[in-house]
Amino acid sequence: MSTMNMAGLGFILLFFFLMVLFTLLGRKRKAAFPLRPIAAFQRLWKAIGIAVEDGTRLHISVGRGSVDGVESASAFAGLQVLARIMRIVSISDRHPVATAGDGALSILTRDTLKAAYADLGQAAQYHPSSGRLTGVTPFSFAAGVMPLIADEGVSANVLIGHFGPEVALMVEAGERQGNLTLAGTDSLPGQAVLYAAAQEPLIGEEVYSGGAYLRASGMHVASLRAQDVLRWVLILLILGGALLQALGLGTIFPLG
Amino acid sequence: MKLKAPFATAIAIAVGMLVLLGYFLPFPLLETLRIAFLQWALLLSVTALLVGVVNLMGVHWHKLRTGAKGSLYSAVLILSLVGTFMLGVYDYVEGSLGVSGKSWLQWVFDNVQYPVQSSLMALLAVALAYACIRMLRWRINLLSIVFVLTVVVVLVGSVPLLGVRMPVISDMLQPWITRFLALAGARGILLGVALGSIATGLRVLAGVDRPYGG
Repeated sequence: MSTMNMAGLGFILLFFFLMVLFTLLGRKRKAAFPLRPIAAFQRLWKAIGIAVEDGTRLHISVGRGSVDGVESASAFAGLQVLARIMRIVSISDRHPVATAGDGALSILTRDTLKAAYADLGQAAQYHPSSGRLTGVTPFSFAAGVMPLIADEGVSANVLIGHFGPEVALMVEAGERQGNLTLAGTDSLPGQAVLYAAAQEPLIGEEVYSGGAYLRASGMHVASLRAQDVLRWVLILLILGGALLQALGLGTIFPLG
Repeated sequence: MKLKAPFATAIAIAVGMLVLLGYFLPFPLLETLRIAFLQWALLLSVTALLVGVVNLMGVHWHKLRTGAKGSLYSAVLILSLVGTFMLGVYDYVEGSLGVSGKSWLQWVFDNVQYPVQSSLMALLAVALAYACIRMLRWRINLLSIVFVLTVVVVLVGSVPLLGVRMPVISDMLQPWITRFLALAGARGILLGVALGSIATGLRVLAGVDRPYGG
């Protein structure tokens, strides 16, 4: 087992340990770990309330990342947000519509919706068209989402998953309808585009924090705490490595 | 349903753990299992694409039948989908008979798909320029101004203006921004994305997030 593999496994175990620890601590002292306010999620709560009152729909897109690739994590974060929103808006007349740009992801989207309807005791209300594959290439995906935003009584768009620069077209479609658009992606070009185009962009790890801010479970909040701790560990390691390199001692801790 | 959910969760957790351990631990059995599971996942995702296409057809067929807004576009989509599929079958039959003719499927990609995608790409450039201006209206703060200024400097530095390269911007400022500032920022964001990905993966492994609806 190489040093790199040991370090990787150790890092993941440490991450998991911290998540469990913060979950247990969070149960005992709930107020001790307040989340820092993120404007995007504050506005999302308002948008959900307005959608329920107005009888409009929320559109949640989980992107076009493949479930067997590195983009799957952001897609799973999007699915978690979808599942949570479904439960929050259960009393609404019009339930959310979800879109995906990958075959397997579209099945997971429908599965998530179906499970949420079943949990709410409204299994009969589920319709396969509430979870859709709109296209499998970046632009066909965007082109398929745009008319849905315009024609299906959508009042807010939540785009969390893997999106490239084509996401600007989807945001623009929402903008033309006067909708709130909250968007986040794991792709760097996509994030740059969203910073300019979206009213409420989610940058970096904020993409994965939807579950915590929508109060999905204590483990979601705990995973944010674990991320905060490990981010500082990484920063210290990077600074330490740079210092050792600058002092000419870069080879005393060989990895790999 | 009540039995299905814990069963699906248990299988997902077990398979996820095996694949994760297969990456780190040097046991041949784990390695073999990891590769086998990943190959199955690939096969399943290709099959899922077919299911997705059937869903796409179903949604647009429903729109067409109910005469919903934009049902004309749904008709065009269904006709194009069926037409392209038929051309693919025709190409395949021609290929298996050994008739080396023109690929009609390729013709459709070259003459329909690519031009349409290029048009959307051009539209994207306009949408982004407009978004930049709109951002200054919504969020006029230091970061937004830095963002727009950086975009202008990198654009001017990368593309000669009327055939003339800007001396300081093209030779010093633009390379410095892209090689150092942008790269450092991108790495910082990627670290955050990596931590978020690990957290999401661990929540799935712990059965807290269940993207499979179990």
